[in-house]
Amino acid sequence: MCRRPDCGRRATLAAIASILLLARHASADPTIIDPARATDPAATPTPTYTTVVRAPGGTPQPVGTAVDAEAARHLPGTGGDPALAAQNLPGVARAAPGATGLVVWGAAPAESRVLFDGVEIPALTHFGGFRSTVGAELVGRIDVVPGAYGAEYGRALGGLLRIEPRPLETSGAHMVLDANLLDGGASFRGGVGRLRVATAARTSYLDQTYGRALPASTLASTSAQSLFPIPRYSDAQVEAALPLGERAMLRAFALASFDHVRRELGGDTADLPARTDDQHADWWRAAVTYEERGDDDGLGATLYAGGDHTSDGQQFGATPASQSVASREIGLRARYRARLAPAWRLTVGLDGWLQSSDVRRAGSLTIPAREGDLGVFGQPPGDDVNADHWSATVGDVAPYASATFTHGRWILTPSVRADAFPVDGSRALPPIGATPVVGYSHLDFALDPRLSVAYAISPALIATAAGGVYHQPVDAADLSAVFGSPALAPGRAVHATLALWARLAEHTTVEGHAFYRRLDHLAVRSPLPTPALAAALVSDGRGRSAGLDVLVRRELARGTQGWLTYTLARSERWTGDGPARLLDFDQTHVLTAVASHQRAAWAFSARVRYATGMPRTPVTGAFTDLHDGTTQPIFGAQNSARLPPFFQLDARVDRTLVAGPAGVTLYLDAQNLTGRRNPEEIVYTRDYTSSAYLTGPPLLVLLGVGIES
Amino acid sequence: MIRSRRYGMRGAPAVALALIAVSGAGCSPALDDHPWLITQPTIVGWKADPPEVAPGATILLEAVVLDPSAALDATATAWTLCHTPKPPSENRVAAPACLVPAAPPDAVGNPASIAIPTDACRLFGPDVPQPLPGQPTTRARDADATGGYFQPVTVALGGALAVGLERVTCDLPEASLADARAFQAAYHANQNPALVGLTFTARNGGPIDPSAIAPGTRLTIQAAWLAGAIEHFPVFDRQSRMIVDTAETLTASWYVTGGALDQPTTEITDPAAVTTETGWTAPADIVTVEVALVLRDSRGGSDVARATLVVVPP
Repeated sequence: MCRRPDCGRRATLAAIASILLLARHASADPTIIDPARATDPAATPTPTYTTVVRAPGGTPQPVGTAVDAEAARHLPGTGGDPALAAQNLPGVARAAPGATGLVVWGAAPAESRVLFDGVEIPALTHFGGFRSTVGAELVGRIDVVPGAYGAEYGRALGGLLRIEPRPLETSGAHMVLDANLLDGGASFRGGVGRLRVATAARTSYLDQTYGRALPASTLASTSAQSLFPIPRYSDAQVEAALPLGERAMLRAFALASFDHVRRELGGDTADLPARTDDQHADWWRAAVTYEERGDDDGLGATLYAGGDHTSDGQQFGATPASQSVASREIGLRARYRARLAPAWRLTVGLDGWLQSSDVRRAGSLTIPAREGDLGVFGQPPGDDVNADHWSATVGDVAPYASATFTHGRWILTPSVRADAFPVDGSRALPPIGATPVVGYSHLDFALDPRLSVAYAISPALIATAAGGVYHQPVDAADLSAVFGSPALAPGRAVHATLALWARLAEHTTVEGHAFYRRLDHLAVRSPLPTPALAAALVSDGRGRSAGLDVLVRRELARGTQGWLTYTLARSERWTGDGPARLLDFDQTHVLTAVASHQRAAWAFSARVRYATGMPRTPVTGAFTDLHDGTTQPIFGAQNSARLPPFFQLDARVDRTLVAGPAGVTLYLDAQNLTGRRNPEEIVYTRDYTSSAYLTGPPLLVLLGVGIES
Repeated sequence: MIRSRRYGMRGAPAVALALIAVSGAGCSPALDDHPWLITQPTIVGWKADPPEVAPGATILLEAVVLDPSAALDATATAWTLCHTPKPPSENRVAAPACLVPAAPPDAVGNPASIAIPTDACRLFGPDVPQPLPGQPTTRARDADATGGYFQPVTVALGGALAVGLERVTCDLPEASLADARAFQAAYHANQNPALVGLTFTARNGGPIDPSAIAPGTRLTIQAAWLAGAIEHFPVFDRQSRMIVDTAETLTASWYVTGGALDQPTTEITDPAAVTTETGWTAPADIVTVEVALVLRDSRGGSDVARATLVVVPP
């Protein structure tokens, strides 16, 4: 027992730091998933609203920001889809139009991972970015960890977006039917005895609503739908939980998602060869989790399986391009957590994953496009074509260990992850005549040490430093001997961050992170005019990103709450010793402000977003391609220009009425209130003599009513 | 962020209905996209004779320049052979180093003769050099959808820049020996389509004098070519790894220096077709309008027909 006079204060400071680093995360217990609900148990029909922006959920991480899903549903601009709120958190850049991933701390979308209950899912959103791939009613919280996470997580060079499932109620049944002009869906939550289940499904009919109202284009060679293709999507989820005694739980879930979008340019009615782009992305995941909920968590294990099928068929006049990837995967995540001493907590675990893919690809080498490709919107690929059919198995077996030492004002968390990346492929060289097919296999090892240190300077000021090494396995679609390379190595990143948390006033806190990320061994296109055989892609890509983000938060007080986030970032990429260029998704400034005010049955909220425009390569001239009569661009320095800045003001008004046992909520969600036509892309005339901006919709209004009982 | 607390939702459904309203007009920009309307000196096409040769052969090149200002001297056309292969990641037709006029050019004049380099199949085709000790074997270049490999030629006149592609006959190293032999036995070098000329008729089918057209007059321009322009040829299909018989596609591209075209580009796949036509509306101004038709086949052959239309006061 400590008998020094400062022991009590030190214990308090340590407890605060522990809260920040260890305890301010969600529990599977629904009674504490939402503090507001826990502290206000009165089941009165009078509505109350609470802003909740909290520290990460799931396993605690040195940095990150979480949003309660119930709160996120009412954020202006999300359309009631809580996972979309991740785009408003610090360190997250504004998503490109139609993008299905996130740009976190300057990482490309493919370098970050989206996890549902610890299991990776292929995409955050459906095609078009209108909806997340996981039904809104099954989401409990969203947690963005932009970098410097612990050894429990790997296979990513960028950040993590963790979607935690909504805890299942211990009794009763609940059903929600939802229909709007985007999609329709239903969800059910209930159970029999101790077995609790939740299920949801949703399908879109956007093509029958927004598609019919879409205005005609004034661009001679295109239609508006060719510029804004209407996606079709659907998804379904099933979740179940069964308590096993007082200290253990068996949970299971299954997710499925289906996407399709078709874009057409030119055709019979225009003076262009027909261009079509037909994309499908279907996937499923199923998992069973056993977890003990002891004082120190104990054992937890998740066994999961999944399947993906993506296809992209494009036609540029007479030149086709297609890629089809069919994958199956299994994985196991297991960990054991124990307190070995009062100030020493140890976690050991295993993160294993194996994916087998069958890939068919034909057409131009530059389709599908990669980050860093030089081109402009709508530019057709080169005429050179080839074809390949290959299979590849890629895996990751990663034991890890993490220890947490608490000493006074200090919390030290070293961890280490040892990855073994097996790769096995069907074809080491391109097919040549009757040469026998020779496969290949190799095993790459990586040791990823990571460390976070927290120091409570005072009860109102805590500093954290964290960093580590991260690896991401190769993508099976890159292992073609014709279009890629079977010899690609895992990408590598080094993260470093310094974070400060301070309470400025009773209801006001501020958090800030300075970050730096260095990347190498990235898979990029060979810049050589004549690449080596089976080396169209090389592991010579490098990059760096640096910046800072700040979150100023006012907690709920006198009915008003809000937050402001600002991210300053610069992200660059280069190949080998070549010149650096900006990442295609780089945004220097990203500012988001959200505020809400609650007064009786009324609630008002607003969101303002500002973001620097994304880089684009300027067109400095043009020449005629006499082979087909088209005009082709002459480029300036790659990514040396930018789209104009993005600015948008959104607002939402909720009015709740009480009608007996039912509550009726009327809401008005208006996006882009100022009507600003935000440039999203540059389009050129076919002779490149003039250009204009493709802009987003000037005003989008969602008016709705919800009936709950 | 607003959080709505749910309460007492047991056993009864909740229904949410929503309406979306979109205000404002379209989101696509207004661009005057008429690449067929030539308002500045432009090289709109070329004719290479023959259109496909073995490396080392000499070809005769003729550029088709439309110049509304009539200020350019076409005999100053500069021709430069490209010697830099483009990286496989390059979407454009030639390497960036070949997109600037070289000094001095390999030939000047219009037409002009130029010799295809003897190493064209190594630089731009499937031939790969023997690797030096310790060096990896290099990747063979990809053919286009017709199985063709091409020597780029940069064409410059005044401020106009263009790149033409001369098809080069190369081996078929990716195929088996039997397939390669079968391919060589069946393959015939490409021939240019042969245009007969342009004819002009009024929209009512009557004759019209191209040297005296009233402003705003709508007329039909028809092009005719000799039969047999659509040739059959074998292609080594890289997906099936087999040799397949393929027919060419013709593309007729119209260009004018004034007025408006109804259908600037037409694809022709019918082997029996020997004509194509488009509508043209004379401008309101009193001008002389140059018309050019470039007829291309999908293997890189082409022919050109030109005419002059004079818009006179009514």
